Amino acid sequence: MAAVGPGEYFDAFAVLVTAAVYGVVGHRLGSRPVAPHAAAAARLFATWWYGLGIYTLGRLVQVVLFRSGMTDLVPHMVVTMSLLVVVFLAIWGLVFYLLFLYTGDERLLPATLAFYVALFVGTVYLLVQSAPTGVVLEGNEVLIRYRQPLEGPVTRVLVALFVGIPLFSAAAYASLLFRVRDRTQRYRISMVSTMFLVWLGAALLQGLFLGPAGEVGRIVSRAIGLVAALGVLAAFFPPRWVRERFGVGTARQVTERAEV
Amino acid sequence: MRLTDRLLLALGVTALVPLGFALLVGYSSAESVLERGVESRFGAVADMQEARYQEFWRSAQGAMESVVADEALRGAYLDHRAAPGDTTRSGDLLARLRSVVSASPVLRDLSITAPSGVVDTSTRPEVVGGTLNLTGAPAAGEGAIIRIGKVTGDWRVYLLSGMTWEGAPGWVIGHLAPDLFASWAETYPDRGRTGEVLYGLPDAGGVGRMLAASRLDPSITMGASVGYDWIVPMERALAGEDAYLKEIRDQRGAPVAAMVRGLDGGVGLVVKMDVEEAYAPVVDLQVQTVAAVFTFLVVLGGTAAWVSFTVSRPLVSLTARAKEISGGRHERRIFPSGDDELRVLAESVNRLASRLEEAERTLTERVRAATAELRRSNQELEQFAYVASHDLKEPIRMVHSYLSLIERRFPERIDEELGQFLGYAKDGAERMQRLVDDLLVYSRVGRSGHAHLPVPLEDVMHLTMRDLSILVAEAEAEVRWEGLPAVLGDRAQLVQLFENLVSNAVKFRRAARPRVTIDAVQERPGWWRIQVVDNGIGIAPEHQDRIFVLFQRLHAREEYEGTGIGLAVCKKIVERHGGRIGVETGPGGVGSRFWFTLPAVAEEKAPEAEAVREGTFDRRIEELV
Repeated sequence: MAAVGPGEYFDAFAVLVTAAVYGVVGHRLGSRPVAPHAAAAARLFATWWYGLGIYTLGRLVQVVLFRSGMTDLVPHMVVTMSLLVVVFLAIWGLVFYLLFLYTGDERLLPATLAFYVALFVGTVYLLVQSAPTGVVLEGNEVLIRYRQPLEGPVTRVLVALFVGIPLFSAAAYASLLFRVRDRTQRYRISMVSTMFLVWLGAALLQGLFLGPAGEVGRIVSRAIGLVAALGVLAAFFPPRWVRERFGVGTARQVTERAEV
Repeated sequence: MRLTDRLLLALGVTALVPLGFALLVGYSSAESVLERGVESRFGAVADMQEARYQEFWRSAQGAMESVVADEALRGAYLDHRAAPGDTTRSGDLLARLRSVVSASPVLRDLSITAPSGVVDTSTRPEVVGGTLNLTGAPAAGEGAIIRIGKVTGDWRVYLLSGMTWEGAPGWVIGHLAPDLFASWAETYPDRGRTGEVLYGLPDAGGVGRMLAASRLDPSITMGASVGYDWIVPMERALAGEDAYLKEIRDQRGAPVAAMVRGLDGGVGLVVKMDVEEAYAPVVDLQVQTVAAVFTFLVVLGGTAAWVSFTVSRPLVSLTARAKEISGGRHERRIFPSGDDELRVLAESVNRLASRLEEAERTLTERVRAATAELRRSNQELEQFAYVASHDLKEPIRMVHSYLSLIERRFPERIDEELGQFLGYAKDGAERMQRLVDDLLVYSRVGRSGHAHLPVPLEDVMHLTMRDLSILVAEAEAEVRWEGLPAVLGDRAQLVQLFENLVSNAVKFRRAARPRVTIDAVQERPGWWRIQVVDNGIGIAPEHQDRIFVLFQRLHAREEYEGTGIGLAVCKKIVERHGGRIGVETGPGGVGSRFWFTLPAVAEEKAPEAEAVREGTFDRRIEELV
């Protein structure tokens, strides 16, 4: 069993806090009262945040399983596939939310769903084709070993789909800044899109160009993720000094105002 | 549970249970077939190796037996022993040995030892003079054994047979090809990356020694000690086990699958391969099954969501519209898509809505006409009441004035009885004065109202308390209020309303100190419910309906003075603001709780405006960002 050091404990702490923060954001956004026509978009937006929390937590669960001696491929494949479902669900949620925000067309729900189901099936096919053979613990992350690892353009397309779409979505979310006038909404959009651009941008840079990071890189990456999560929390539930200084409200207040 | 969720659940369960069962059965059958296939592949390789070894073993035994039984060789050897320096006899012996070797398919060289175990004759000259380890060496007639040992510094595999030279023991050594077992081990079809065949032989000092090097582990060379290097599968083979070991670790620590067999002569055979490679088809199957299960779940979930959405969306939309229609918005219509039962239902609802709209229109017109008539009648009545009360004021004042004048001017003529009558007359005139004043107030509520503007009820309460300060102070009443909102209304009338209710609360008190509490709660969007709670004498439930009627009094004038108009004025003010008023028994059955509703400042948006905004980008931003 690999040794557990301060870096690993920090990892676990950061993951737990990050997952909890995303869970809280998802819960609070999911419980906002909205009109029936916007209910699906609101629920799927909450799903995105829940998905981020579950995915973050799931990766930690894999590490714990591995460190406790469960090194067989099959249980890790089950966890990996579950997380893949969660990731696709989350990205679908985010994409539909943004599309609905821009178009107001509820019929995009089944269309986007079909797209992401097809994408999921394709991804699973590629995964099976690359023939997983086992799991290894590398940089406090459980990685699957493949007999025929996917390389080249296929990998880049996958990274682009996993990270690129949310990155593009974050940019689209940021563009809302030019269409709203409300101070709270402007603050929220700025915070959320900045945090996501930083977080996903860092992940994309690493995935495409830098490769696996060392321990310092890993801790920095976790810290960026944690700061991004706390930033998102502050976006929806700004601290008192932000509310007083910039005159912004909480998610609940904005919803209540919308209902009046 | 919502319709969408029910549909999702039903579709999920319907498809999941049978297909999941089929998948499970298919998986376990396929896994069993694959596992048996892996085991039989190992068995086939082991069978092939064993067959070859057995053939070799039979041939070797035969060769060694023929050497031991060869009388010519025996004679030649004895001649050589009798005259060791005679090169002719030695040459004959060597020629004889070479002819035996060339006739044997398994022997490469032959050596003969003296009774001391020292090799004194060999087709390999370099071994002559070497000493044979006699431990465990077979006696004459016991048959050949196979051995591994160091010959001139290298590990060699040889056969050893015992014989007798004129009563003295001796041994014949049959040398085998050095790479014999290595060449056999190489013939392993489809051995892949980690498959290998190992041969071992028990030795005198430890568990055994390897008869050929490992192709995977450079540290395992020919002659390596099995026990020392922990070559566990080989230990099992050398122990004579004949088994398939599904998962056992070899000396590298890698989990391997191995077929182990004990062969004739004590030779151990191991056919092994790393589990990861051997069971790759099973692992692939497991991965494919996991992938299939998840793909199936996602596709099923997606399909269920899609079906649920396409079925439930029109229903949800239809329900929402029907709700709006039942809520009074009869002008709303449903625009059905498709050509199914939902369309028929939607058209039925639309027809119902049309009829309701028509009926509502007719009813509205009738109500409008009746209301206009009622308003006109009310105006006339109010005009009459106003005129009557206004015009009555002057004669009453005159009656009262003259009665007072009579009292002042002619005191000497007023005896006790007349004085009493004059008192009654003045009292009556004063009461009539108050009655007319109150009536005037009542009629003015409907006649002289101001536009409804935002009015903070906190301000209203301050004005009320200012006007009632003497009454409150005299009664030592405690009047408290909190959380009063701003409402839309006529400030003067609201002051009148609160004055009437608070003064009533103070007036109709018990012996205890009067306590009045005023607070407000939001009754429904756009409306506040204000409560005035006191600890006074209360109102019996059977009288609670009629106290708002004009001139209704529940007590004798001597007990509590008043005209019976105050609460009627309250009712009129509240209704003029579009609200309702009522009374209940106070908390704990003590006193009264008067309540009334008033419109909030921020009125609910008109439904039409809301509907227009519903589809806008701004609305979505407001709701969802």
